Amino acid sequence: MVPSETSAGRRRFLKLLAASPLLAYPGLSPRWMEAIGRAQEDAVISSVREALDVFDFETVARKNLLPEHWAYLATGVDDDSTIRANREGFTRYQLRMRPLADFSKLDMSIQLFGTKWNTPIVLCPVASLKGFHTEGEKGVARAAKAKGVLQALSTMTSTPVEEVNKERGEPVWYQLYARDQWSETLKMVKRVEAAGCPALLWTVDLLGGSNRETFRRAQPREGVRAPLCKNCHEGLKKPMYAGLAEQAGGEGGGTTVFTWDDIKRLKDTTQMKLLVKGIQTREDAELAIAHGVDGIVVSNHGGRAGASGRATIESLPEIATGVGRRIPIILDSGIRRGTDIFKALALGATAVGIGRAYVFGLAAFGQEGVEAVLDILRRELQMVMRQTGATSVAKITRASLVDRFDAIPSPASSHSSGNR
Amino acid sequence: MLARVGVMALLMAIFPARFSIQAQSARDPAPHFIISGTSTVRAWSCPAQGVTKVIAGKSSQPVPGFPHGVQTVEVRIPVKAIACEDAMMVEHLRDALNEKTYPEIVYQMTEYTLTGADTAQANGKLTITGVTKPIRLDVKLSPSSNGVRSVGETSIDLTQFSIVPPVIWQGLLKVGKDVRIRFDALLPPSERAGGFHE
Repeated sequence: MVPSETSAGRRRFLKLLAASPLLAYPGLSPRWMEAIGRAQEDAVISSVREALDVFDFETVARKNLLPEHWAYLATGVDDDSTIRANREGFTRYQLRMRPLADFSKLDMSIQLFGTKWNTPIVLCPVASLKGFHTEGEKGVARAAKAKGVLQALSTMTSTPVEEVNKERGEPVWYQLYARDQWSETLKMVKRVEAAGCPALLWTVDLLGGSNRETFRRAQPREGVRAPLCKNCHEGLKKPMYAGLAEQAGGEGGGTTVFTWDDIKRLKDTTQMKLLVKGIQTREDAELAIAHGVDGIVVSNHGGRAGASGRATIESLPEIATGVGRRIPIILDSGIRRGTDIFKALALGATAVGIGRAYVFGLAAFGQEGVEAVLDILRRELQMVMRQTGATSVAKITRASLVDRFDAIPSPASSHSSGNR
Repeated sequence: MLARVGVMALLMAIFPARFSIQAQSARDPAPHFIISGTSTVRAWSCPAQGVTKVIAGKSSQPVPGFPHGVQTVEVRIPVKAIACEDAMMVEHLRDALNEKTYPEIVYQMTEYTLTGADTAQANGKLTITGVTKPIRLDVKLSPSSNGVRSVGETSIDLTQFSIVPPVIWQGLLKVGKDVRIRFDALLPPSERAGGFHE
């Protein structure tokens, strides 16, 4: 069911009004402020049927979540510039519209390690999903099963991998944070492999640490809301750490220094496919291939790792050139639209991962919300494929895009041609 | 909070009733309900299974799957059938619903009106913990060779049923008063008019 254009337009206007700088005007009437406040409430959707895009779920998620939990989801690093860059990076690439292709048969399927998926969308690993909705990872797994989407589970999952696999109906991919003690990493890898997981994503973009100021500022001061958070978190241990030795530091934050030599250690440990997650340069993509990885994930952890200020979509072209189709490339970070997915595929990605996008859906409406987010992104991608004449993922190529930076002639070329 | 969640589950039971406009009582498969709501920490949802009994009509307005219409629909959800993933929520739910005194949530449809080729609006009564309120539900009916699928949802304000949304942890966690109930069930189509179908 598609919401009426009238209600959608009204919601957009109210959102624009709520964001207006006029709200800061000290002389604004209290009645105006009250009316705008009510309008902001009205602008929040009350069911998935009202959603037009992924951003509609973000609004509900923020409203539903404890501020500390929202801050964990929303945070970047330093001044959150990399999060912004991830979104802004997509504006660099424009679409070349070619609407007269025969799109009566549209094929969105892809192949990854011999498995066919009916969509190039991947559900990225995100920590502690029960913190966003009681359904947590199981709700996401049910949604992934219903929509036939590949799901990757975080080491920081709030549900054991065995239970997630059962809910999904097949083993999921597993994202690994290596432990300081190699023996402990080995235990986790063996457990995951015994659960049937076919692929391991070793996350490397947090090895240098991260400065998540937005999240840290949202933490309760002692005596203020602290009892609530302590009730939720104190004494709790992540299920994938069961039976493992304690480690100082949080998510990915151990003290051991890992290098490319550890790729071989991991590959010698398991039969699972090994992907390295957090590749952001051509050099590292080529090193990954040289060290025998089976795939890479071009990622800056959703802007939550380093303060590169560089969008993953802008890193992708050099990486795709270096990889030369030898191994699959998954891109994540900043995906919110079908056009974002299309651009990533056009620039060389084999598949595209979403993180916050589906967690917004989960936090808003549980499994139903995740399914709705997937439906919206799928629908948007189908539309842009039709509009650009790409009737299959294989036909989404670099020629489907224009890089705005390419349109600017260099001073050297214009001088040599005699142009002024 | 969780006790009130139970109430929500009851509400969900009510909505399933709409779907039970389908030909026969849903024992196999049982209609599936999902009650969902919010709190100051996170949103939540609890599934529930119920039993629906439908008495086909002899004339009235035919609906998809019921060529002679529907005389009445009754849905009963055992409080014990509400199955939140969190065990603590289940415990609080049963306490809040006073399961020992009121073991079931009951919905009875009193009348309905076709609103489209495959949609209907049903009026009825919902009884939770001894309190009865009128309820109006909207349902979409989709007949197929396997049966008739009934889908719909509605929202209820707990306070309208004299239910105070639960508060725990010295008031730091508060459950929202608005609960949403979704129903999705596949029921075999009616093959005869009149009588009681189970």
